[in-house]
Amino acid sequence: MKNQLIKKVFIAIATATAIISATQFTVQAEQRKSIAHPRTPYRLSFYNRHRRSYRVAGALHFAHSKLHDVLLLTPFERHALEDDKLYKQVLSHYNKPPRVEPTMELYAPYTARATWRLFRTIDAVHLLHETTEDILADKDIPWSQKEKELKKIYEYYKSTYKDVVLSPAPLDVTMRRAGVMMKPYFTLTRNYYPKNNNFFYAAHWWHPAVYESMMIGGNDSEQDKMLNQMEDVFQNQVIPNPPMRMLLSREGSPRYSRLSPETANVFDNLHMLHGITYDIFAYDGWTIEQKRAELYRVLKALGYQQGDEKLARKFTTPKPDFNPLAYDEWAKSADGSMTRMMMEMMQEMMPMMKGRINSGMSSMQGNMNQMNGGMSQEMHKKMMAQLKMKLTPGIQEGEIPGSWMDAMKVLMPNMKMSPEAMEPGKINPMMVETMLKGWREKYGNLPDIESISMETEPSAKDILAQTQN
Amino acid sequence: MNTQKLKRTGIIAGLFLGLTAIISFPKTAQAADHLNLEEGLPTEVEDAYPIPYKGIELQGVTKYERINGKDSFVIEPRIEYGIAPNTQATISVPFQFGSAEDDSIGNAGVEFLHNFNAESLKTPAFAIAVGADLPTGADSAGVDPKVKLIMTKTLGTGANLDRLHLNVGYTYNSSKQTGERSNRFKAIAGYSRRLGSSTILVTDFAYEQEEEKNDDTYVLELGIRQQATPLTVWSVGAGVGLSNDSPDFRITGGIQQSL
Repeated sequence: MKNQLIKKVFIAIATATAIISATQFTVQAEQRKSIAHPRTPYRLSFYNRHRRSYRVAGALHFAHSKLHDVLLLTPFERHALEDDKLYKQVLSHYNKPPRVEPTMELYAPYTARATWRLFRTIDAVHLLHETTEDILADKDIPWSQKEKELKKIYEYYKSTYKDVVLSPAPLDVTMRRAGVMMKPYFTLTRNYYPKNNNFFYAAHWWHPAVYESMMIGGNDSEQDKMLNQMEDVFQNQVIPNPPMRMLLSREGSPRYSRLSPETANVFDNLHMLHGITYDIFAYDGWTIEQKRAELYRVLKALGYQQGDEKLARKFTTPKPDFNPLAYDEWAKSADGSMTRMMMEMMQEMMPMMKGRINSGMSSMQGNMNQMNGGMSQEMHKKMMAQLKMKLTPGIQEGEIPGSWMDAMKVLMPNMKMSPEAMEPGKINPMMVETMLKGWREKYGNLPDIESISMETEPSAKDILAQTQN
Repeated sequence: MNTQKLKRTGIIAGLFLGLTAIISFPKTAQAADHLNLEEGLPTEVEDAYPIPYKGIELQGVTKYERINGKDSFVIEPRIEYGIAPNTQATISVPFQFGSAEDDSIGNAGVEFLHNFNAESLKTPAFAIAVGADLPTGADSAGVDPKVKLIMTKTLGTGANLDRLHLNVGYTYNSSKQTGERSNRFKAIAGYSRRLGSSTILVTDFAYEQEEEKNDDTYVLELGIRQQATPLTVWSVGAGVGLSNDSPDFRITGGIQQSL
């Protein structure tokens, strides 16, 4: 009897200790906070109607997921080997794609444990991708009602995922808030893991192309034809010869971007988040804790801020009649909205850079230097040329090794870097404000891009006929 | 209608009312998730994660055991609801058949599982499940409260999501009959691994003190969980008993469907 009592007391104490210890640990730990998808009438419409494209998305998500762990768990010096190895796995998954779309955690368990908030953020936007695709795919939603449903689902995303929601402001704004160009990791992935980087550029051609194909096809069987033909283009042309830049929604899905600019911008912000995350993870100079601090800073910068909806339509569409079935030189080029944005940001930051100014120069030279932020015309030209190379996948002839910051240090060894630049989790607020001021001056008064009429269902007859010819 | 039957009917009616209330809840659903281990689907071990908040899942668990030359079939429908962030509620009603026991409804169960944290690089995920077995079974009496501590830890840095799961459970027998235990413990050590994008392998070793005094079972189990569609997971497994009190063998099958 006494033994039984002692046993019970021991068990009670052990249990209480275990619970208290667990609670103490878990106070510091992140919360799982999974939320169920909305049960809507259009749920799984895309899965049911466009199975081929649904499975391609699964393959792309495998690729996105897996690269996280590869970058965190393999040394940078093995970049070529790891890039090649993963690319082969990615192609294999593309050729035999999963039947059900995997979550990020499934193929990147280390990253899930190290930076769970990142995967919550990504999985939340993937939900937005799925539900918006469902809305466009569902024949029971009249064409004229699609915009209303898209607005509703955006509001649902914003209110349900409050703590991880990405901004609906254009990438031009959020990239400036993030201020990653002056960080030691910027451009590492595109330069040193070009195979996988370029596959993601192909994937970021694909995703806007899905939306645009549905926008062009309308609700009827032309939508199915558009998507099937788009998949053929993706398989036969885009994957073997991917774009040399990340296409933005305004480039790859101009019609959809006008219809739902909030979600289109969220998707751009997600696609950029992928690239920044991979750069941070590829950088060998920080511990995992430091990488987390920096990544979470970036997540906050790309996140929603009060009033961001007012900025959602501040963009133009370079090719309003873009045809996803015609994969042309413009789509493949390294020059586009993304590159323009980065070059602008560099120009905006230059006045803040302190470099050595040649004391023997004439006053005219001095004035010209002032215009270039205290550097000579020649140096300015070299910097912009080097940046262009850094923004191009792979390593080009004449490109300085390392990240963009490494290249700048070689070009301007006396340039004083902002101390916050080297600190994970920190940013120079003056630099961010300078770039945002630059954006406001250039685009703050841009008229909002007009919405697109959904009163009449479009016809894809002409585009489909062109492709058959 | 005798008092016992009346009580049993009342409890089951209450459970079904609860079920109806849950089904009428706001419009959220979540893909049933093969990564999220559930008790009996297909092995005893469960992981430290509940279904997502506001998710609703119907589960059907079937178990066949051969016990001392006799057959036992159990079919157990369940409903789970993500009742709060990181928390799920479960209602279960088992139906028993076979020569090992009388055909009847078993003890219905109600349980709440709360997850404390997402697993980090150093800290496992922890959860606690509290619940009760209700006296809906033939010859059962009293509400038996139970508690279970659950831990999930990923092993190493491999890509296959190798995980260790520990479950330690306690049930209090509130209306102890002659020859029965007042307190029962259960301990399970399990392991899971991703075999493909849609398939998870699960194996465990389960020790359980039965209601009858001195009856302890030891079972080794193996099974797989397969994500068949975005909303459906099926599972199948088998187990073998390692002691005289244990079932000779066990076969399990199950299905999970998100609403």
